[in-house]
Amino acid sequence: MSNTHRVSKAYVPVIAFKFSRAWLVLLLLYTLGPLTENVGAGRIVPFVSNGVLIGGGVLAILLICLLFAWFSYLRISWKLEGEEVYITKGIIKRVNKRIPVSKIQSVDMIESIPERMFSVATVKIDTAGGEGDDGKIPCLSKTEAAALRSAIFAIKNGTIMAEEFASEPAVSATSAAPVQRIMEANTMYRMPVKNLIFTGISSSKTILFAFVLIGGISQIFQIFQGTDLYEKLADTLLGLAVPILVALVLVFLVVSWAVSAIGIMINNYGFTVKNAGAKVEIEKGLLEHKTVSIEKNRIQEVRIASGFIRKLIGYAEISVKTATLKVQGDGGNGKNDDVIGLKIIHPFIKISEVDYFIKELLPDFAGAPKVFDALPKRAHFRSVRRYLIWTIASIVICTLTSALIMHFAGGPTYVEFLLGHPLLFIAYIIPTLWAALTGYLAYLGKGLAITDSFISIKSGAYGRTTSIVPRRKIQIAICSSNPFQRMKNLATIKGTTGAHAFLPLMDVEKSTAEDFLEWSIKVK
Amino acid sequence: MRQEPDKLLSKKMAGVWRLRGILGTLFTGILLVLPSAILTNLTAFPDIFLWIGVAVTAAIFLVFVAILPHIWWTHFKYAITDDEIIIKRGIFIVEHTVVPMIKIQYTDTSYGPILRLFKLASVKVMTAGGTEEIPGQLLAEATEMRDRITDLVKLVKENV
Repeated sequence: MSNTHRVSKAYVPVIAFKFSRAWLVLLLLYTLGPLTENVGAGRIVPFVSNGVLIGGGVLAILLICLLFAWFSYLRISWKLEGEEVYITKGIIKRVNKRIPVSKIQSVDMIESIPERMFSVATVKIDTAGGEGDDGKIPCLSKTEAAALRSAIFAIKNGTIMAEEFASEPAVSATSAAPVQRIMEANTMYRMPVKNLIFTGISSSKTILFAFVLIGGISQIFQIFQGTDLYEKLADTLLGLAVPILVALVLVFLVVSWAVSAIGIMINNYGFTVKNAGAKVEIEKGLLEHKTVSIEKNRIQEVRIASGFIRKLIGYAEISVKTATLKVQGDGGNGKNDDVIGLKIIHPFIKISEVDYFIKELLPDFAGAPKVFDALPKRAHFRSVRRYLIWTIASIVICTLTSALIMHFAGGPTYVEFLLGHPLLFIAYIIPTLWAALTGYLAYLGKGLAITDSFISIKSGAYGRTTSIVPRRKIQIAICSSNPFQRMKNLATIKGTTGAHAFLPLMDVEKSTAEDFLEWSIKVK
Repeated sequence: MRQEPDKLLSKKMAGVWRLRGILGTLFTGILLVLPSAILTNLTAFPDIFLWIGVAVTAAIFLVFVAILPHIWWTHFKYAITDDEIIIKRGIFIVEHTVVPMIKIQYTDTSYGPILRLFKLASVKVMTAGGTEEIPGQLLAEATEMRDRITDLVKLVKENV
């Protein structure tokens, strides 16, 4: 593989398609209006001339993109030489990329739809702290892609073994059994169609998707605002009885749920987990086929999560976080980055089988604690109050705004209006009860387990997320407390691993949090 | 905890924060006062907005120049032992951070124009999981601290 390689000729149409896609959609959007207008008005001549113009436009776009793709094809080349991957690409700005194999975290194979038509694949090389598309080699023939992957892994395994035997012998089960590395990958799990369907319909992302869809639809309505169509639609909607409106909303929710469920099924089609010694290999996808490999000793955190529905039927999802060495940036105490870089290694597993699966696939994590300590009783009240405060605050804000609006609009005051419509009190009572219940369940759902080499944190009101972090992967340990927590002698424990923040846990006993700090720095 | 962090930053750091406060107050003051001052002079714009702007600027000055810098200084404590760097900081939310020496990838000292004016530097330690900073040491002390940390890190090295 040491000589320079070109990518497959399929690169030209695939990249041309990628470039032209956005432009074609834009062109269509802008021309559809006048076209349909002409047809509606029975004006054939402008319709034809418009059609010719649009056809010309499409052709021009395709031609430009093809030309661009061709030049880009001439410029792109790669080679694997002396334990380094070289990638050269770029028309105007030339990029010469050198990636030492030892820095490579994972090599993924992605086949997008146009690539599948030509049976080629993109090899995506992930390095620690790498950014952007620099490590991508698009459109390799599948045999070439597979050869490159195994060549990289072959070099990598060699160096890893040498390093590990030199510095830290017998740190993990994997390094103790080097034979396993060369062993053929054996399939741990291949998802049957029945489970695929359940994965789709039980995902809690579906509800989120409904909200996104609602946002999108309201956007479309804004575009049509002021037109006849909008007026008509608004009139019909307002004319409908309440039950019909409710039914419409329900139908809408069901449809959006079904669409998103199908999306998840397409993504997870043929989900296969393979145990390949030092690596976990995952294949999935119906339209876009993905092959992902995760190095076991780079795993920083294992998460077992089940949403409300999955918890009810006794299933969970297992994901892992791998090291992403982003040394630059802020203190790593960011709040939202605890979901960055999650890779699913099993989308739908019986909760009772989780332990076995982890023991077989990730033996390093087999010793994780299973018995959790509940939070102190004082945390219970705080949990309920935390949820209540936000709900009551938003209720108060809503009430005040409505009262103000009604005050300035004239007519009845808000209190009169409220007394006239006693059903409105439901809008006060239900969210409050809901918040109290959520706070109570959130308290019950939380738990902490610390053993010599692991910390496990459990949380979730209606669903359940368990996070397992090995002690030697913790980079920074933090115990923080706000004034209210200090009054009750409570604290929050959080921290970072090589994969950013792990799941934080609020309101543990202050002494426990301090023990956690002490525990995190123990050397062996 | 076997050791509460007890070392304070250089007393000059309060001066740095004070200077930053003054610059910040100037900036917000111009934004708040200037438009309403111009409007009040040229048009019949009510001058209450001008006075509100002046009052807010004065309040910001009081808080960020007179009060907070000293409190910030008293509320940042740290300790460097052979095994760890401990930082305790915060007024309302108190954060107690522990960086094990074995996790530190590299360290550096840096100073911007304001820190340089006070002959100070800040020491940063980088781990795979993020960066922690001890701001405001005398330059010589900061360099010494950086070297000491680097020496300690050399002794114990672990993989990510």
